[in-house]
Amino acid sequence: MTNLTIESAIDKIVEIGRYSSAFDLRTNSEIREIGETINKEYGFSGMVQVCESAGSSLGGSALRMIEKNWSGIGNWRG
Amino acid sequence: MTYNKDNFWDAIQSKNFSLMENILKSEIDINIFANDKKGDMVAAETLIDFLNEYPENKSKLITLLGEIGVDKAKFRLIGLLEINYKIKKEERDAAAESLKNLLNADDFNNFIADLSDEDSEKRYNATRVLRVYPNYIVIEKLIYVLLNDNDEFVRERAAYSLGDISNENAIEPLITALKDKSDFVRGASAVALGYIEDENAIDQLILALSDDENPGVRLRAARSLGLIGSKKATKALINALQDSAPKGDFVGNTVNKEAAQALGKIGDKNAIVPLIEALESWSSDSRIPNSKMVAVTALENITQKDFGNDTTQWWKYYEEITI
Repeated sequence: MTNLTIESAIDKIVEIGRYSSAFDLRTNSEIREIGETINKEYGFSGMVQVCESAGSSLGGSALRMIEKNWSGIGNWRG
Repeated sequence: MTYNKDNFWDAIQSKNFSLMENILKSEIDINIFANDKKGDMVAAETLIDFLNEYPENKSKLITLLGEIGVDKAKFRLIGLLEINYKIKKEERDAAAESLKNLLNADDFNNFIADLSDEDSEKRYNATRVLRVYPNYIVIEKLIYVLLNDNDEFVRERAAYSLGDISNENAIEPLITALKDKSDFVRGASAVALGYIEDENAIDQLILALSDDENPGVRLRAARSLGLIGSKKATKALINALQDSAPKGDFVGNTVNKEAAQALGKIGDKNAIVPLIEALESWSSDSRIPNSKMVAVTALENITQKDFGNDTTQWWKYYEEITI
């Protein structure tokens, strides 16, 4: 996944999350891949920014699922 | 170009996905191919791989996989029952239909038994797969799970399965579940009511759209009101165009977008002015480029006109039709 900005990462996760079940949010491989790329490009703080912004658009429970999905990426513990 | 079943078989054997794509888009009768290749593992495995790559509607391919009838396809087909932005409802329906051919009476009894298992993952999976059998027993069981299971994800899954089955007996329980303590269950219930497309759910969906604290629930209620397509929802959806975006949310508020899309589906001309106003206000906010496109599409759907995001032209058009 190349040329991923913070903004496009949020946009993509929101697009996925608008249609996802909780299970899908928790296990979706695209969301995990986005987390891995953001960690590589922007580090932990970038991940926090993406997760919080996407979570605020989709609702707090969705944020919880994204946190779980990213568990184990860099220093992220969901 | 005209293709036949041998071309398709050659494409499968050579794993030529682009040729497979072209053949599937043509008018080839896939049933003839399926009859020849029943139980063929090579065909099934290639089709399973191809499913991940095929960008178009997968229903035809899913049906073909079910017809070939290889046991290995079960797991892939069960995966296609998941609620995911890449899987359309008609594709889930096709997967359910195909699975019906691959599952037997023992499977059915096991899934029913799994609904009472202590392991919530078993209950989740059973709730997901049982939508394959849209009979009275299953609907009653799923309703019980929706209203009583102690795991929110299992209740959520029951709501989605009831929506996919789309039986009217599920309407009242789904309306009750719009008040569940879990955001996921409320959201899934809103989606399910949209799939059933019954106008009796409109009032409660409007309440969910205007009052639910969770944007994920509100956006799903908006989408479902669009699917039901009644003008009774126009006012609530217009209000939702102004649903306040969280501060710092530069992708825009998803509820706004869903409301605009729903208004486009309903096609009520009373939404023209609010949509032009939304387009103007969203246009000045560079953080939400996608929302502009959604508002434009909604206006085009309602008016059958194509003025893009030129609000001057939209206002001129509105003046013309109101004179």
